[in-house]
Amino acid sequence: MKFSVQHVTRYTYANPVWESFNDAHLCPVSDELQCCESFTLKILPQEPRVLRRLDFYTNQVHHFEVMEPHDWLEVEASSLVETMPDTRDFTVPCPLAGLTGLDRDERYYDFLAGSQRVLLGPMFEHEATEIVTGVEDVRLRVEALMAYIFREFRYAPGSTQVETDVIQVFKHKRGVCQDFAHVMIALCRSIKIPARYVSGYFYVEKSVSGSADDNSASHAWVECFLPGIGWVGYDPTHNRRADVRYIKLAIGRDYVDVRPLAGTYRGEAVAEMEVAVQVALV
Amino acid sequence: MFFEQYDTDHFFDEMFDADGKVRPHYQAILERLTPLSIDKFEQKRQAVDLSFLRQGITFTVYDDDEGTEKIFPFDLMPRIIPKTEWSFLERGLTQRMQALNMFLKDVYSKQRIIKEGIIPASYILSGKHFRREFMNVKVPRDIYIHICGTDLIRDDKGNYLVLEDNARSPSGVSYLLENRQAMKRAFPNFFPKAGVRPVENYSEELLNTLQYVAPYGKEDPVCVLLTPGHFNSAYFEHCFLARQMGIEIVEGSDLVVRDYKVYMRTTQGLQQVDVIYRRIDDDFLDPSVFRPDSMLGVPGLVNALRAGNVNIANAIGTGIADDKLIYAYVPDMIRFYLSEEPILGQVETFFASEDDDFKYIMENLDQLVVKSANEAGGYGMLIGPKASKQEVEDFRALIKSDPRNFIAQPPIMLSRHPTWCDGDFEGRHVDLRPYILSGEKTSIVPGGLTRVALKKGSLVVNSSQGGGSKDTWVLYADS
Repeated sequence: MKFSVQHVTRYTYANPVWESFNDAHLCPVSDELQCCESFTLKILPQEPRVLRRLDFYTNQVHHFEVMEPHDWLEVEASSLVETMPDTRDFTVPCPLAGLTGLDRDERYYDFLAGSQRVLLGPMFEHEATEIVTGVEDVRLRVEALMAYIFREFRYAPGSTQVETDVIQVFKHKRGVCQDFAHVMIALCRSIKIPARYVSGYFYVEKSVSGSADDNSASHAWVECFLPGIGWVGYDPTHNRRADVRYIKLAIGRDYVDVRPLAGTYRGEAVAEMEVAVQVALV
Repeated sequence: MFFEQYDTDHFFDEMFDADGKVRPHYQAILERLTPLSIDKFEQKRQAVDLSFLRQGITFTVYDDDEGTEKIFPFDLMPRIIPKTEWSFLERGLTQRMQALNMFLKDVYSKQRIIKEGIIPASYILSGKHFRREFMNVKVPRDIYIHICGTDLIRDDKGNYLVLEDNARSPSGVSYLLENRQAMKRAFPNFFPKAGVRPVENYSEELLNTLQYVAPYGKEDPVCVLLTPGHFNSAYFEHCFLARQMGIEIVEGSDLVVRDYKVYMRTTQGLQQVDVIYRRIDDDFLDPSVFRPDSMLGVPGLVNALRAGNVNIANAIGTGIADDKLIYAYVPDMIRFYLSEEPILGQVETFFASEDDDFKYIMENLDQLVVKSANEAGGYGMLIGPKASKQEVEDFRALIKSDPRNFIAQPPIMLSRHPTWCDGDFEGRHVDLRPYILSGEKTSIVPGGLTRVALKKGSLVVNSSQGGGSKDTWVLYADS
């Protein structure tokens, strides 16, 4: 499927700010399942030079600096991206033995250890172990954990903030896609299944504003490593595998690694942020 | 008369052999001291102490309620290293520095050493000072550790062993230079005849090193020293080195980044900076990349570095090389990168994060030295044989709560050196920190900072834990 994505972020400051340094994780990934055909980043009002680099997880980062005083900043990311169906065989067995030793491998270590926003604790291990008891296949274990979140947690916009930590979410069993992704990561890692955070978008034919099915919002899900298959995307918010309707921007240990826009500036003012996303079928 | 009562107590003594005979390289100083009276020696000693205090050569002890500034006690009896011994150390340290620099280049790019199974990925990726932000950043001349202070000790047989590599921002070199000045003043007639190699050109070598690693091989680059400010324990040293090199000492707020270039604010406007000798930790270097609450750093510095418009010494992320778990792998690094056998030995290390080692550590805790993997300055350490039962148990709990953060080593009976203690010479344990510069070539200032544990029987030489220092003489000859 082919999509056009527009992602506009506008910051307004009550007083001018300056020396603003920003990293954007807004460029869709190109890999076996997805191809980003074009990407442009427009920054107003000062149109600074943009420095592109790859981060530790080989995501594309666009860095820009706005030095002169400004009281608003607008970042408009536009991309054209095509997604391909995943043709891997998901019926093959994924033996638990395949997980042994992954914590010593540089490709998986970061996705097994606790991270800034996904602190591991005995409660996750306890819960996860209970859920997967009797399930002897890694894929089925992941699907059981995802189903558990979908069943037990309530989608409740406004019940959490972007900084809400995973333990709070786990206690109150409410949140949005970002929170569900963090909980699923915590549960998977607790039972030694590598899991990473994915930020991106999700397209739905019947978009309902403010719901979990909304084309005017960004989305977050999880990728788990299944021995014998590879990294597979799972969406605990919808209880399904990520498919051609999912557009991937970046992967990381948790939200902190892949914030669409992150930065610092000098000045007294608190920023007000408005985000407008539009995903459309081409 | 000195040394009549002196007893080596079966330790390796730097000055006397096991039969109590003076070693040849100490013969001259012994002859110089012999005709001195105790009073005369005391006079010289007090004069030196006073001059240190007057010059404000002080350091800061953290966690100390009584005023923070202290003098680093100086012992007038020099530590002497003969030529052959020193050239052995030079070869060993040069080899080690080469391997460490190659390791850093590798670990921040291809990671061959992980992929080929030499070091487990988990040790690197769990390292507190491994900087993911620094991955694939190219540095001029492939040099990461420009300045290293490697701590050496000698065991009961006199073998030199590496105890740790201080590869972040080692301090103490100003004491080395000041101690030498003090010695020259105290023994104005004897010193020039003693055949001691000079250390005075350290600052010049340091400046050469900084200039050599300027971006684009720029000639006559502008170098500055970046200090966290006067509350830092080594602020005296920062001022001292900047003055000696004739470069500006700046704080974060004196620097500004524009279009991926770093500038210094001057009375004539902005001046571009090419090389920053930073004496500030990674965490505080750039609030736009590392700790956002840091007031000490320069926002935008890391991206200027990524763009290749500035260089900093030492590089970001060198702390992974002096993580105490990674230390255990330096001999393997030397074999892996250089296909050589390590020249210098080091101390056997047990990892609390490995099941077998953990068991061994728990069973022998009161017989081991335990160190936190990323602390320096003698903080966060247990010396099992000298600790109380309670201290041992407290550490046991600490290790259990965070095994990755602890290693254990057998205690090494450090060599001793005659040291002036209340009116006579007694043996006290010493170590040695040579300062290694990696620029166009690796150069090691002939000498180093000899630290001495002034407390009788103590094995901890750190200034923050009651240590003192000595001048260190490297001789042109073997006697």
